[in-house]
Amino acid sequence: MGGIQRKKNRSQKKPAIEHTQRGTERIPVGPRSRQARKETKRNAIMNSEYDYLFKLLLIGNSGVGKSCLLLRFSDDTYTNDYISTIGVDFKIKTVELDGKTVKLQIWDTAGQERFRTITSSYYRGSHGIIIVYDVTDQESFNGVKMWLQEIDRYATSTVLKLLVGNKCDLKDKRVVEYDVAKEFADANKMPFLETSALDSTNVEDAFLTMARQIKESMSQQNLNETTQKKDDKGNVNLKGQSLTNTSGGCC
Amino acid sequence: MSSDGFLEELTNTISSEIDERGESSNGLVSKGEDIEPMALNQNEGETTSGKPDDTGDVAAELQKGTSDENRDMDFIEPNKSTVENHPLESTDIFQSKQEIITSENSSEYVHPEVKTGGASLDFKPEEKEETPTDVLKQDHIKRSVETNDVPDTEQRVEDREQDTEEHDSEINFNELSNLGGIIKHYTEGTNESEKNIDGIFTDSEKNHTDMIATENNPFDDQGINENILEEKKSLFLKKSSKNEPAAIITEVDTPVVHEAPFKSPSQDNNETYVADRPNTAIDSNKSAQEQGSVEETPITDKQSSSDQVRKLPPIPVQYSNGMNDDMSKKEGFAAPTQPVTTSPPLPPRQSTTTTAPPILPPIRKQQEQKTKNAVPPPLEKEMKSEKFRKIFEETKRSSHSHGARMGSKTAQLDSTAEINLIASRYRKTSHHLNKEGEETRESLQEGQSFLRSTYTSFLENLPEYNEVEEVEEGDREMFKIDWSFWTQVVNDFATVASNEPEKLETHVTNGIPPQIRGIIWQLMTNSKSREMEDIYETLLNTESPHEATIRIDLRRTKFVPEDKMESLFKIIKVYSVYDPDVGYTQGMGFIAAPLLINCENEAESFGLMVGLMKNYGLRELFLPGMPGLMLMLYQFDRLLEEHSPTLYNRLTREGVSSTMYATQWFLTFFAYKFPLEFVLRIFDIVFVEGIEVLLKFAVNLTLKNEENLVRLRFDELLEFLKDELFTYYLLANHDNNSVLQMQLPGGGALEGYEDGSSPSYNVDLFVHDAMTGVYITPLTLRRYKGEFMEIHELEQKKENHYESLRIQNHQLQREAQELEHDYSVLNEENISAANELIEHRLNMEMLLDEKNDLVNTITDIEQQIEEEIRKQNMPNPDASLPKADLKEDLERTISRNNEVMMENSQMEERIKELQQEIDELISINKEQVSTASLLESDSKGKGKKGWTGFKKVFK
Repeated sequence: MGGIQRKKNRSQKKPAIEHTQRGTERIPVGPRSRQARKETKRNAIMNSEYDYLFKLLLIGNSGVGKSCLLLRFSDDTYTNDYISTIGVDFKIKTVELDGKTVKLQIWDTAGQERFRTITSSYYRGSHGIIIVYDVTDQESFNGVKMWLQEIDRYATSTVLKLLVGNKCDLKDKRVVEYDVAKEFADANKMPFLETSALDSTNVEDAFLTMARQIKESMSQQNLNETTQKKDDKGNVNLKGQSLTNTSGGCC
Repeated sequence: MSSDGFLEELTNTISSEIDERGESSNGLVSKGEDIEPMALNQNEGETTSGKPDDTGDVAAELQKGTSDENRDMDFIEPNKSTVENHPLESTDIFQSKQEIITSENSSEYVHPEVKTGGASLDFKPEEKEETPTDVLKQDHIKRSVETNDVPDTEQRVEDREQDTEEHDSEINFNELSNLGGIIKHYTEGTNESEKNIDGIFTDSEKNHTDMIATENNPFDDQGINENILEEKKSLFLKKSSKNEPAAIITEVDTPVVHEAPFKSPSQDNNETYVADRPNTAIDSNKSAQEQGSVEETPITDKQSSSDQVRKLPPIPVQYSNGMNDDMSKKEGFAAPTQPVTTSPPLPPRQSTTTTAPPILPPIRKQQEQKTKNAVPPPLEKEMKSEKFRKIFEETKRSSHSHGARMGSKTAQLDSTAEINLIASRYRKTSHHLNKEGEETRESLQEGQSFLRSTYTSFLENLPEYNEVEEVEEGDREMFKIDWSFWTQVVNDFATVASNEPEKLETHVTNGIPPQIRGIIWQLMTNSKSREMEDIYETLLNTESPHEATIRIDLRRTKFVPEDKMESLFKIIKVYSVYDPDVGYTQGMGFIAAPLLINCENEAESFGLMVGLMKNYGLRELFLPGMPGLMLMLYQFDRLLEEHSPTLYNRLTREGVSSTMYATQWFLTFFAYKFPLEFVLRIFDIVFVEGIEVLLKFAVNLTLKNEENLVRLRFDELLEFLKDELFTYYLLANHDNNSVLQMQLPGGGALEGYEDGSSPSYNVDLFVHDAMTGVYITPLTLRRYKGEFMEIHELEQKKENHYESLRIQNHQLQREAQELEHDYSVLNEENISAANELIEHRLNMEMLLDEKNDLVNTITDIEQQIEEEIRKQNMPNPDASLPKADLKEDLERTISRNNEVMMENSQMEERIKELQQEIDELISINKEQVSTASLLESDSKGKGKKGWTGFKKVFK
């Protein structure tokens, strides 16, 4: 006799739960999802040339080879006497990524601390920041921490980071071991690569890693609402489950 | 048997009665028809889908789906509320965020207030930078000077002295009495001294009006010569306080030249009067509040003085004579006064002594002016006329308000503006010079004379030089150069700069001859001195913390030919030691390299570098935080906006900001990407007009490329702005090649930058365009500076505010996280509590049901009992009869039973007897059998027959 009653209860509870779900879904549409929407909108506008436009920023101590990296990546050339960057420099490179055309807008900054007044304003708009150090220069590796602080301070919290140890071709002069840097990168939850602008080891990889990361996070951001939904569902489901549990437990 | 049947009946009735009671819970159905009140309940129970144990209420609820749902909702309610709570809280968080945002907004609303506050403020920092000694104080002093009615007697002068200089009043009193005596002497004895004093007051008044102008409208009426005025103010103050006649004379002399440099030199001699009248006129325009009293006195005074002057015989001659006397006197004064005042008023005194620098050139300049002053008196008279005054007023006003309306570009205004840039540059240089100590000045003087001698020797060798080095074309070029002019410049740059800025500009625009470039640069900056060389030598061996960085940068950049690389390193390194605040900034190499190329030795180029950095303000661009650069970028933006709003808007809309491309222009004087031939010419102009002139080049370049720029998109725009702007001046674009090639040899000397294949540019046109195409006045720049300061201040505040908000946000986020955590914990608790609640409710429901059931049962039983009781109590007609029957029956039965029992026992006894008989018979039988078997064993044949026969018998 009690069994019939339970069944009835359950069947009538379901719509009630769905109702509450809908309510919770609507509310978390916060700034993040709005931004994502904007992003997609922008992408839609520029659709003719590319699918994505990512803004990357190269930072790191002076003389670690940021400009060389960029030059290698964008023009596939290398020069030993590249003039120290004054202020900011800029390059564009379009790459194919999983069948999508991705336009990379890469900002190369002056490494000297003094230029921070100028360079700091470029953090905000970037999707990904590549921190470069010189494997033959301990000081430049020590500086990475400071650069991370800069990122914390000026960039958006969702920005993606990548640690790059440049000049790995200079094997005899190496002072920063791979493992040390790798450990550091892991501790700070960012991918790590060792590159050489001279023999172009990993250079493309570095930028593509960054791009891929951004793309993933972007699609995740686009899915943000759905993930949010999932979260909520889980939440409600839990409750729903607990409800049925209790009704099950009572008889 | 009747008794048996009765027994059966009895047991039946009893059992049925017992059954009836026992089954009451479920077996009532059968009885339903009999018992009415129960049947009602029962029926309803049956309709509710066979759930008889529901109470009536519950059953009713269950029947209606909606009501059932309602009940469900009630059940879920606690959970539902928690579910809703979640979003609610999150909205709370959003709200709080919004609150933060709105608070930010509100702070922005506050800004206007700050702005208004800043508006009054903005002028101050600006001025403060110009004259480190507080302007306010000066202003104050000035007023006190003003209010003290003008100066007929030395008593007044003494009063003023007291007002202005309180520190060493004693000393000044002493001095004063002397000086006053002198003044008295002059007033009584010679007319010119009176004229001088008159000059003081007219000057003071002028200053005052200018001060007011600046106060009233910091941007427009400030006066182009604000700089000059400031200097003059301070100078004048000090002079007037000390009453040094010589100083006064120079005061009358020099500022006037800058005030109205566009006048013909012959007009100069009446400067005092000229300066007089327009100012009084301006005064009368001003609000009378402050000046009412002040205004009147000077005018009358002047009139009287001018009357006196009119009576004078050939003034100029006397004047010039007096001047010479004054000069000697002045030096006589300067010498004793300096040791007397040691500590507090040292800086002012220095400046007093140096307005007319004791160095050769200024004196010569004065002499020149004196000779000019000697030109006919008729002009002097003319200048006193109303007409002239009006003209002067107009020109002055237009020059004042020029910056306010950049749009109107009459030739005169332009020239005024141009002059002012040079003049202001020169002013600054001399101002810096004035700050230096006596020794420095002397060594600078030495340096200058050394340079001069180098130049003369160069000139002497020139023909020879031509023969040896220059080919035909080069020859022509050498002849084309106006050597006489350059000689003039070398001999007395100050005069040229202040008297013939246009000419100077024209020549510099055409390019300083590369052979003497270094000399001219050094003369312009006033950088060459033994002292500087000594500094260089001493610092050369000091280690710099920037050494490694400098080396890295130099190694990777080919600034200069290899052999000069070390020198370049040294210069930059020494500078980084010399000016530790600046240290080393990337980009310095670009500045140092051209200097090194054009100088005799490292020390000279180091001197030039220091000159550029300190005197020209380049230092500001390289300081940490780069305040000068930010300012320049702002000024550039504004200028670009003013000159071409279309282009400016276009760039802004494309998201291209000047920091992206113009940073390197300004920090390296365009050397970062531009060919050296451009850079050297830019340097030329910079040395004459100051680093502000970079703005001209920048704006000009962008304007010239406007057509291209407007068409480009973001990425192309940036690339173009960085790398291709100067291609506009590629020779292919223009026809006048010949002019160009003549300029090139200068650049050709510097192998480091050029190789033969590089295209040639029309550098002349480039410089010319920049100089004539773009109009920038110090006034405009200062106005922008004011704006920038204001914006910068606001931004700083915003930045700080943002920073604090960021920290706050961090904390709040952490709090929010904690709260969220707490919330989730609570939520879980809540869920479990809710679940329990539901469980309990259900339990309760069940218990209720059970209870109801029990209640029902009880009522049923009660009813049955009642029924039973009722039945029992009911008057039974047969009750008495059967009772007696029963008893009798019972008794009868008992007796019968007894009988039967008796019979039974009898029968049992009989059975026993029979049993005994049987036993006996059996035992007999047994005996018979044994005998029979014996018989059988005796006789075999007989045996069988006998057994069967026995069997038959037994049967």
